[in-house]
Amino acid sequence: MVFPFVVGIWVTAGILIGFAVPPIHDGNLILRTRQIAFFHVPMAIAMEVAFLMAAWYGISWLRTRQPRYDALSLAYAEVGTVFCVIATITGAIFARTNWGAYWSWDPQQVGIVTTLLTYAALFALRGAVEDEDKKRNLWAVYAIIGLIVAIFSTMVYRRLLPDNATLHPSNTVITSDALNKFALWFNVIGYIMLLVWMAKLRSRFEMASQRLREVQWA
Amino acid sequence: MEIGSSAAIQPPGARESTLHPLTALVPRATWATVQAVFWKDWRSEWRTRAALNSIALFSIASPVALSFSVARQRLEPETLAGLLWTVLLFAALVGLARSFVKEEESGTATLLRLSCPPDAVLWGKALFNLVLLVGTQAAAVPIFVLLLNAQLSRAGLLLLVLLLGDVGLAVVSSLLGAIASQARARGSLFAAIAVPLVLPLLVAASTGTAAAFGAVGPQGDFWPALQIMLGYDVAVVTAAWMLFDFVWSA
Repeated sequence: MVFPFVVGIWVTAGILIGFAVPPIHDGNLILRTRQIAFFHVPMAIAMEVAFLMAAWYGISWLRTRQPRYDALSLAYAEVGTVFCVIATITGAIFARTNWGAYWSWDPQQVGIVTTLLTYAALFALRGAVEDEDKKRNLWAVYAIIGLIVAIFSTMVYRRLLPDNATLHPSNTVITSDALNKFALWFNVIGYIMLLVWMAKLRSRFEMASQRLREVQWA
Repeated sequence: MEIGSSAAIQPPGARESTLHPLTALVPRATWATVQAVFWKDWRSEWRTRAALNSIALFSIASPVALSFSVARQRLEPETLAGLLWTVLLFAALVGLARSFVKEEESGTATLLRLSCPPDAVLWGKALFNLVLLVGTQAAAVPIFVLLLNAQLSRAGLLLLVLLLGDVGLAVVSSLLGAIASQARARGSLFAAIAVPLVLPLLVAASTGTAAAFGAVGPQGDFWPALQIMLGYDVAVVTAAWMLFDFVWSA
């Protein structure tokens, strides 16, 4: 297994690069704690990817009825929740140093809290159903409709508001110099690989524990 | 397998159906079956009036409580709009899961599965929830406006926002009511899974209502809010239509 080592080295290198790049200007302001951007933005993107994958494997489960897909869906949702929490906390720290308050119900913050609550509701639902197949069906349905609403609250909502409604920088890193741009995309790829690796491990664990439950009952 | 294969009834040369053999047997909803589910719910609700009473009492009692607690204060339109939608949301959460929970509790869900196409159950119950919401709000919103001294500067806009919000709430709560009714701790689970999904709708509805109560400036621009609500309604109607089969026939 080479993949875990590649991911480990890649993510470490990404963190180091984040500290090496020149400062970023947002308008004529220099962003403070800019290193967070190379952590926070990839986490937020990976969190959305995780939700997308959870819903995708939910659809796969509904179509094929193979428990493997349900385990993958669960795994992506769980790792996605962790990423979502990290993105929320790093975002709050960034907001504190740049805008003066940890929390100000900026449209981006509304979006990420909605997503976090949707993730939490998924696990509440899974815990409340006893029958295995029914549990998986309801999980998949909620993951799909949750994805639609998460897209609404994180992407559509902000774009329908006037431009001055959010303080959140958009495209600031992308439009700055090439080195910053490279550092950002390097980290995005790194954390998505991390997501995939962790979700694979988690789904294998889930399959193993399912088999164990079956053996127990048999 | 024989009943599902449609080769026998198809004319020679017709393309083999790509539908799953069981899916091909599921009857599609017609307006008559949707109506049948609606009137069944209407009659059984009218016997006990449990959901109607809980929603109506909640949405009338909370403006009274609110106006006690903020008596003789001038509230901003944004605050009023937020209060109104908080009241309406929780009133909906109190009563709307009833229509599916009732079926599971009284053991009539199986009979309904046998006698009705799944789509008809969804749309019949969504229609019933919509009527329930509109009916209780017809009483609750005027009381709210009177007791809290809201300046109703755009009444048509308020009606439009209420209607768009009610459509979204009714459809989401029908799908989620069907989900929650199959789990343990139905009442509390319904609120837990419904709140995250209606938050975007709630935010947009509050913005639109603030404009209807006379908010000015960037808060007075209500087109984005209406667009969000319309988009949300279309999205959840489509999602519920596609996904309800998997919940109902599980």
